[in-house]
Amino acid sequence: MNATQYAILAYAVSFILIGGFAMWSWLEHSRLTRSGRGRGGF
Amino acid sequence: MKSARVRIVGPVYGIVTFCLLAAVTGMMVWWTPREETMGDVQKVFYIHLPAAINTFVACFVVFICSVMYLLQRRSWWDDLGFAAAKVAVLLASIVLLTGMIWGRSAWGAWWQWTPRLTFSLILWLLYVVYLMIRPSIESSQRRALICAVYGVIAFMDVPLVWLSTKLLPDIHPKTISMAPEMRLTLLAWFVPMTMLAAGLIVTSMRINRLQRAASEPAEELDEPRLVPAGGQA
Repeated sequence: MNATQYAILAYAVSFILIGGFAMWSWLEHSRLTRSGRGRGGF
Repeated sequence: MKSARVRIVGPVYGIVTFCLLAAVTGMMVWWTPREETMGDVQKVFYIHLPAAINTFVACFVVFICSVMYLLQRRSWWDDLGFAAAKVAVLLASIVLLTGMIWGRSAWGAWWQWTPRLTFSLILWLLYVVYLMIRPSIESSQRRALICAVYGVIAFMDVPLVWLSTKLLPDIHPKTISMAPEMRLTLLAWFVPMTMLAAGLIVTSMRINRLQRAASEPAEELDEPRLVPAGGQA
């Protein structure tokens, strides 16, 4: 692998982690809100 | 009307963060010059450093929440600390992985047992353990108390990570000379990364509050108990 490929790999891994966590948070929040469980709120 | 306005804040914040992340990625790819010695792999630095600084901030939030829980015993602080710990693990994972990939290209090895890397790995492990011990404790008050004490102790590793390259011999870069375009790109990357960390902490916090509200009686979500002067609550 050359330097460019390592850089692409690093950003791909980072975006997958960030995107995965953000997507999970969004889905979980939507599920809990839609099911009307609890009062919630910040 | 107010609730509809409040409801769009989250999606708008998410879209703005995503657009800024796309903008700084474009800026990094097409505008920022390539470093002569390392080539394109130097560009890993633009996500590595903001992720590292935001990891410290998230760990600091856990620390503050832990101290506040020990002082006030409010479940709110426990939920916020838990949310910050999740984001700390996410960001620390990014720091370790991007650092390893950069190291493979620059040093020829995925990992070196240097003080900075070792203390960073310990930091990641400490907050992974924080997340792992939570489900193993059934009582919510006992869980919050144990995690608060643990959150204070775990934070002790942050100064060690920060000072390791200054106080101990280490091959990890200490200072990096950058062209003005590189410096601007690095500063620009801090904006979406900080917004992302804050947004994820708030969303996780809301999830924790919803889960707690669903699993616990209403009185356990209370505000701090008011103790009358000279009496018991």
